[in-house]
Amino acid sequence: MSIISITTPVSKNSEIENFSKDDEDESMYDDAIDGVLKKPEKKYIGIDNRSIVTPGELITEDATWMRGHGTYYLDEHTYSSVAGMISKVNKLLSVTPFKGRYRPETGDHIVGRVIGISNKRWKVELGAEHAGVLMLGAVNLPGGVLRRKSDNDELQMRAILKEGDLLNCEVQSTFSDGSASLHTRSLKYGKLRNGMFLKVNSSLIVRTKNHMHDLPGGVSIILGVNGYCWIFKTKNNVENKINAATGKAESEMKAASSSKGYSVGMGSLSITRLEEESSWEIYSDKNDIISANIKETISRYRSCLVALSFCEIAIDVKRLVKAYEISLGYGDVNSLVSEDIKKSIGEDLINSEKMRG
Amino acid sequence: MSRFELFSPEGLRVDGRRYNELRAFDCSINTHPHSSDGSAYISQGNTKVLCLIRGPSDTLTTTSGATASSADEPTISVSIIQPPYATTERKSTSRTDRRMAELSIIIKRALQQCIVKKNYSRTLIEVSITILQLDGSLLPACINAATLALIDAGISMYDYISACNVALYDTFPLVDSNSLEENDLSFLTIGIIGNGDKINLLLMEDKVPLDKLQKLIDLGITGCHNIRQLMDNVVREIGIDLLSKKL
Amino acid sequence: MVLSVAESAFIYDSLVSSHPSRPDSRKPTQYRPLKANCGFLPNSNGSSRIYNPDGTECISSVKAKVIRSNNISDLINVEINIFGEKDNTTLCQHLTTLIKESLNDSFDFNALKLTDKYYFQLYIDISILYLPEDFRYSSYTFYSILSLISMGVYLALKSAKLPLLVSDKKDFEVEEEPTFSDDWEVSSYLIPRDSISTFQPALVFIVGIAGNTVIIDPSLEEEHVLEHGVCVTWSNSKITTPIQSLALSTSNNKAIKPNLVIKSMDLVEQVAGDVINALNTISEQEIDEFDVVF
Repeated sequence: MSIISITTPVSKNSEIENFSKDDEDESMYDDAIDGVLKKPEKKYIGIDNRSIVTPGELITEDATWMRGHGTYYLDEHTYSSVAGMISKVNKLLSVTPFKGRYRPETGDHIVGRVIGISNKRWKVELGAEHAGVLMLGAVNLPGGVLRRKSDNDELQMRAILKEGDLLNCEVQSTFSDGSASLHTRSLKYGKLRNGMFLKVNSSLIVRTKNHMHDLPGGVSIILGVNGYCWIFKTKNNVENKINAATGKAESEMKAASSSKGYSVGMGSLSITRLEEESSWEIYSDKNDIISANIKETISRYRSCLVALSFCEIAIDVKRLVKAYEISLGYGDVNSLVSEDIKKSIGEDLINSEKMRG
Repeated sequence: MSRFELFSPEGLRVDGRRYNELRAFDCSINTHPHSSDGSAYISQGNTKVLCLIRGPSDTLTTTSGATASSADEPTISVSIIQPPYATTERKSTSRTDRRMAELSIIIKRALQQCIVKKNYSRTLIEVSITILQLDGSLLPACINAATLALIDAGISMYDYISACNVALYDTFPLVDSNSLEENDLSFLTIGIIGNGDKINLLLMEDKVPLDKLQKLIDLGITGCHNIRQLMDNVVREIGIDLLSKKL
Repeated sequence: MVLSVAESAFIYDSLVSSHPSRPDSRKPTQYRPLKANCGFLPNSNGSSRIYNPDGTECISSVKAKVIRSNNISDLINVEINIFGEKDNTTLCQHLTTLIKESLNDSFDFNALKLTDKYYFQLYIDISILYLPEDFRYSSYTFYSILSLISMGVYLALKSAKLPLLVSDKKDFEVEEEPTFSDDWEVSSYLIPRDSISTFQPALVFIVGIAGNTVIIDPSLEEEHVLEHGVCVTWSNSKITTPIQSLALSTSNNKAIKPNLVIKSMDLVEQVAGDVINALNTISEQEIDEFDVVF
């Protein structure tokens, strides 16, 4: 395998450029100039879902539509303000741009990075237009949720989360300017450890019910809706936690005996469990001991994610696992760096999906 | 080059064009997907310009120290870099060059008019333009590149803003002037938002007989409309391409 | 970009372990896939564009000018322009000096000699179009782009063509400026491509050091946790000066053990041949005037 690969970039739009060249040739003739100028004036009576519009294009003259993102309204006409696809939901008309930053929506499960601390809140970078806000009141404080917040907590905010820390959180609400307020008030959210971070384009992440998944190989992943992903070693007591959250003490006892350990609060009601989980430990900076095997699996999954995003394939957990299986056929992890292999993983994935239909 | 040769009696210009012909126009968008939110490359004849856009974001700070400061509209920061190799004769342009600073303010004003401001309160949009090669029509190329990059970044705007230069030879207006023509003739820059006939940008630094002005402006507007159409074609084609790839 | 404590610990531990693994699963000797092409600026004698998958991009141009001089030391001029940096910061100056020094040491100035009195003077202009945003306001020192700049300059020099001299070479007695053929078809490469008179312009390699591990071409995440960096120059099939220790990031900076410097040089020796070959292959690909580079 080669140490270095340098290739010449291939223009993605080569065909398109040819097209525009033909076009520009035409405009060389006097008569053609008027022809170019004459825009096909369509009456958009039945607006086509998924049809392409560009900024300034008239979408409809019908004033009954509600105007959503990507549109503007002038003289009772609705125009597009971005280049993208028209989408209609009931009477709401909006244009989804081909590209753009992540737009937070309430309930999104995301990963963010703390970039600042100020007056009872953390500023969290999400890859959106505005940084998200995590209020001190929206996190689980060490010592349990039932505890009152004190001035002391405010003073030691940096001991809980500091600049650079990665968070697993949910969008609690959005403000009118599009910025998000976050919370981590659930056991599945909080500070991230034991793994690696990767940024992909947010438009590639498929919104699903669940964004945290356990993968084969003792590794878990959070596919943040904002495109920030965290691949980490599966927590040993994940089983317990879920049970604790649902309050099924019985099955928890079973799990406890299987994991050969008993800690305070285990087997009791969920509320005590929460208290125990919310100790300072959840804000620890120290990684667990991670075996070389797990590390390799983590980097393989990371390379697979990179390959999927390289091929611009929409990412969900099924595809990721499939890509992982395919990648095993390509041998060593470090062979996945090459662009050819990334491409062929993408192709194999698409082909296998076509086979299954 | 004597003045006479710039426009022959047969109606041909130095590079063989007629008065109303644009130079070969080529553009592409999303040229730098990893390093920017929006990017575009444009070439008008031998003028080649690259534009990268970062933002809109409220956490961005530009090198000139600009931050998202305004509460109800985006702060736009424009910087133009002309590397020494852009001209035939090597020429160093300092970052504090007055002419570049002036142009960047003009571009900033032009862009401010066409961005839907209310969507981007408290954010910063950083536009950085690199001139790879210069052969006249600098300002129009920068504006056209910036428009495409804004569209690529998915930033809401009322319409394309397109611009072109028109030079005056005797009584003949010449569209999309190159550097030879600009050296010897009076010229002006016109910028238009959309397909209308209202002028959003006009820059005239040379003397022009008043009775010829109308002619120049008319040809300039037609040139802008043509450029808008050419850019729109490319954006649409890329859109169709993306659509076919979406799974 | 500030990494979280847990994140950098994870990367550091993986790097220094007995079987070092890198965050993007490269081998210690492996480069990230690069993209490059040459000769796309018609106004320059030679040019190149090279970029990393993280978006760091370097455009280099070589322009030749005829001067009457005997002072060989000022025949090569280097100017670096980094996006987001002011002109002539200490960083720019330092990078400029390093590149210039490395070229002066490796260059065969006969290639620039025109006549008895006249020389070609080279202006090498480098612009860094983009540095990852994370780069701009943190502990990173920018030095790692030296490797990319150096490759860019190598490609630009390799692709540079000089016009054919038509006047007499022996003009010591004649008071007349050299004249050139207008025909670019008969131009010759600045660096001859035949095996006898050819030479290699210097390449600068950046090696990152963490624990006992040395890695080539460190990525951003790695730089954050590296203890030190070394730049090693390679030219004409051997290691030459300048060799310098360069802190790649200030967040985890420590002193280096001497044996690691030797180890870094060994690493460069291992990869240099392949890098040179890859660069030569690129520089030999002629680009069509109408190819769209962007």
